[in-house]
Amino acid sequence: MKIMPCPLNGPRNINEFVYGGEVSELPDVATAPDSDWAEHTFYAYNGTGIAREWWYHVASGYWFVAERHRVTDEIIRTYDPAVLAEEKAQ
Amino acid sequence: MKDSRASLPLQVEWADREAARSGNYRRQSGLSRRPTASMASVVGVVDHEDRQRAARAGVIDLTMVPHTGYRGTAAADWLAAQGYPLPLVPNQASTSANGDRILRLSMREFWLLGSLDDLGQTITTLPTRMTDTPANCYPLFCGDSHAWLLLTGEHIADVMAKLCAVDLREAQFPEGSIAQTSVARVGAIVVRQQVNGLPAFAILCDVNSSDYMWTVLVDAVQEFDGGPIGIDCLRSGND
Repeated sequence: MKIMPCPLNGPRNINEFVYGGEVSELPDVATAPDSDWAEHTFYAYNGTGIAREWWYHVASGYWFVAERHRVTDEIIRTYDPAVLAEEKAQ
Repeated sequence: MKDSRASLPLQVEWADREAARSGNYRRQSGLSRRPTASMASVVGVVDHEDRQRAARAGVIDLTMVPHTGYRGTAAADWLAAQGYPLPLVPNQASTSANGDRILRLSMREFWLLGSLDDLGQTITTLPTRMTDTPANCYPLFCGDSHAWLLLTGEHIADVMAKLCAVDLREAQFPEGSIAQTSVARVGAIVVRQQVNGLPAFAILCDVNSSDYMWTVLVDAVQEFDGGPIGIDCLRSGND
């Protein structure tokens, strides 16, 4: 079975996890035009390369971020969402 | 299997008198009871071979022993102020002076399992309302939401090897380790402990799965000549 390295619980079978969609930036709530919201809501990137995705470990109720290669399906790294907040703050 | 659902009694006389009861109470109908601090009881003694079964592979439902939890950024400081020794990293457990078990499930979430010696008395003194704890420290209702089963004896790792993908042998998973994983395809928290000198796994799963989890565990321990046990053989001073 495919193994996902969970940042909190360590390596676990992939069937303990649920996919939560790509990590995406929310449009500016005050100023973004409708077209930006339409893009955000209805369109997703469908190419190759490395995807940054939300994943959920069901048994511990823990959300985290995984970087996964769209072609090889290799999981490159996983980390706590606090890292996203730090990146945003920088 | 020995205890199929069809043969369970429809009415269990003692269960009607108690404030609450475990999802497995029908399976415990004819057995002696041990009242806990929750105003509900657990099985006291199954038969005179409890101790031998507990040493091989015993299963007991401790859901009615008080257990609770706290979550939030202030939970760690508040629990430390109550005198609880807290594990420093997630997925580790510690034991307080009176035998309560403290499970650190993440940086900000702690569960407390009542001591089998005081039958959860200390846990019942802790606040259960958000207004009684400091800001950013929220009481959890895991005492109601989660069943607590205990697997004891020398064969626990062999039993769990049939049910769980995580390596729970002692070399990989020493005392105090916690695995939040899937046991028999049900989400569960597994904690390795010493209980009255016996190696044991506390298994916490959703209460709605407790009847299923019970049958799975009792079926799994048959291979090791194990089976249901009562709480009396697990309490210190009862050696």
